Amino acid sequence: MDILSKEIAGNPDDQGLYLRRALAWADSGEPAKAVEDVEYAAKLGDPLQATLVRGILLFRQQALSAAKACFDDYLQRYPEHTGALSYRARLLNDTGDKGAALADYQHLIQLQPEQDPGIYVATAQLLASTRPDEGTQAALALLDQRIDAVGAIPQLQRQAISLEKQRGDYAAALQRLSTLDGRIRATPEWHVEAAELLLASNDSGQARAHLLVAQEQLQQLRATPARAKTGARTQQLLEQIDGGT
Amino acid sequence: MNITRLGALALTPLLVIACSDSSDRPSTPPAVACSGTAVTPERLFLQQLGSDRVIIKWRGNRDGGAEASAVCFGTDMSFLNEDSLTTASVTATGHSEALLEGLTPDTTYYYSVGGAGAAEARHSFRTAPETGELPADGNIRIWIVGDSGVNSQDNQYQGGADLVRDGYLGWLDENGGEPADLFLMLGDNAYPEGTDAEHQVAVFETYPDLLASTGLWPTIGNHEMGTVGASLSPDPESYASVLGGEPDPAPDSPMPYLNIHTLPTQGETGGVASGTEQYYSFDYGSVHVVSLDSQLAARDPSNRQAMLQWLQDDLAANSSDWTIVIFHHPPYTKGSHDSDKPLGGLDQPIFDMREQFTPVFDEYGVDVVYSGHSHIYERSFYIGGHTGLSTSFDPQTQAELNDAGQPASGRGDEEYSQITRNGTDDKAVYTVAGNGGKATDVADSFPHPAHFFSGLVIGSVVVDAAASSLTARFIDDKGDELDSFTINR
Repeated sequence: MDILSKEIAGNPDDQGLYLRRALAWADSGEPAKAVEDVEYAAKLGDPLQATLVRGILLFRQQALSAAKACFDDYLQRYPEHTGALSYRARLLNDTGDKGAALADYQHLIQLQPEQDPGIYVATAQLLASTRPDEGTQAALALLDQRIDAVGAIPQLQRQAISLEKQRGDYAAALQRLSTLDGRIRATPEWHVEAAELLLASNDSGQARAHLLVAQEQLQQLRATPARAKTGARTQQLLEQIDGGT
Repeated sequence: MNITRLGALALTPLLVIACSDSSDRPSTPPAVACSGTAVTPERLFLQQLGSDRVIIKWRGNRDGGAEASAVCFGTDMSFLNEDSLTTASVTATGHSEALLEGLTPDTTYYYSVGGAGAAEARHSFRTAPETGELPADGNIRIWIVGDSGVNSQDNQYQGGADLVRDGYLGWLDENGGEPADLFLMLGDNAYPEGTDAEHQVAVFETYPDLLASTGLWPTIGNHEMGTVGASLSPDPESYASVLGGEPDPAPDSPMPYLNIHTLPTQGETGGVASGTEQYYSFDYGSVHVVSLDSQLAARDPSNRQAMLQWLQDDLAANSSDWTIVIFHHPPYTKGSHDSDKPLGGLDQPIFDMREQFTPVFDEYGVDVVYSGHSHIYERSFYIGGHTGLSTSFDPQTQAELNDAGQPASGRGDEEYSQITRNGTDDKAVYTVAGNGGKATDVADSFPHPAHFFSGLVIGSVVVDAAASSLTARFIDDKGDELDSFTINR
């Protein structure tokens, strides 16, 4: 704050400095001073330049309708500003405007494919929820497109597995499970997941084999709460299989 | 298969002739040393240093000449074989990076940037032991600094990082001199905006010798976010100027931190592939380290959930003796930031990391967690299950207790056991070490009740991970050890 204030003292007409200080004020828990700087910055030059920061401040205060108007104005001039698009996509998703959120996320991915895996997951979820059948297919295609680029990372492939399970394609889910990182495939948790999918496919023989592997692995590993849960689930599924046969 | 047999038969007479008369034996060509000229780069650092690989990364030439385009390396510093000559690739921001692969675990290598036939002693590194193993000296030493970027900012704290570094080096001199195997930076590595130029001063000119010999593993801080200061944006592109929608020119776009570092995305050095440099993990012998992104990914619910999913998979697949997690925003602090206050959203990650990530640490056996952000040293008891405000901390149920029923200190006869009284590995020690260059102030309700030790003093942390114990020490700028604890396994 001191640095920015000194810079402003030396350059009192620099619009950008006021906008930077506005965000710094907001970061310091001083929203009123932040707004003051934004409003002053708007008078120093093109008022639109203050709109993005104003939108960010409003978004932070959960004034979502007003924030959206700011992002709309800014994106009208700069339709490819990924920061503004990212904010608006999230805002639209939060407010339930799924169609518009999907359009912004898709635009964001088109402009900058190197997005966080979460952006792909969010987009896939929107695709699947807005158009149940073809949407799921499109969601899987989007996830696979990114998997082709970065590998079958769990953030993406697990979302795909979830979509395959939702549409009842357990074989496809199992196939996807088998593409996860080798380190994941070596865990008891993975064997239990495989067993669950095999059980859903009525293959209790293979499911049992996976569960026995998981059980043996768990005996060798340090006790953690997560492994205890996996052990309990393993036991439960084995009893389910043995009870059914 | 037939061709192979014929080849073997055809070679046989040659071998007989060669063995019958040593004067006719084909001589092995004499080894030839590299013939390039050593260059002293403006910045030189090691990335992804593992058991069989390393990336040597550099930029510039201090002497003003041409930049180096290759390295030579080997285990004999006085003779670097020309066969080792490795050409570097050049990134969009002018960094050269030479990937050395096929290295031998737990072995010292020397290298010459520029490809000379001999190396300086300081241009050396030791590869990690095989995953799950200890190095020959039986100990993995880790040096950790947080919020150390003060040297690039013109204020009263400038020079603080030098004092912390020298305090650590002084402590090393007096305690056997074992150098660090790993160098972890907890974010806010270059103030105030984390530009490329600020990284030059605060990182590369502050720790040049360490960076030339030790693998650097960072995490993202809120001051790595550039001019927009858009601390709430989950998007690295938000580093771009707030004016005009035009991105900043290289090397400051999209984000210097990501431009400078080459971090694992595909599990190159162990750990589950994350697909992003913003968060990652790696193995170093018997230690598994996870670097989370509490600044960018944590700020968007979708990105945060994706990181959480990856973390669960990564930790489930981890069977290392010791697990260390680093990220910038501390779940428990009463220093210059207060973990009970979101501070207009700037500190929302404190809440999100505490509420959503610490339960995963408990579930999957994380041992120690290091953060910065708050300019103070604070160290917790051995705790689990604490996801609320400080007033909700219940030492009787959430801390490991000593014989007197009080939270155990971790020292002397109160050292922690990795497997707790619950019969499982369900607790961790949380340390705030955002005092790698400055110690500023404390919150009104200082100290945090989950903390055993708090000190408003600059310094750094040294972790020693051995076969049966992990000991962490806080070393101040005078080289004095002010705090320590041990976890036994």
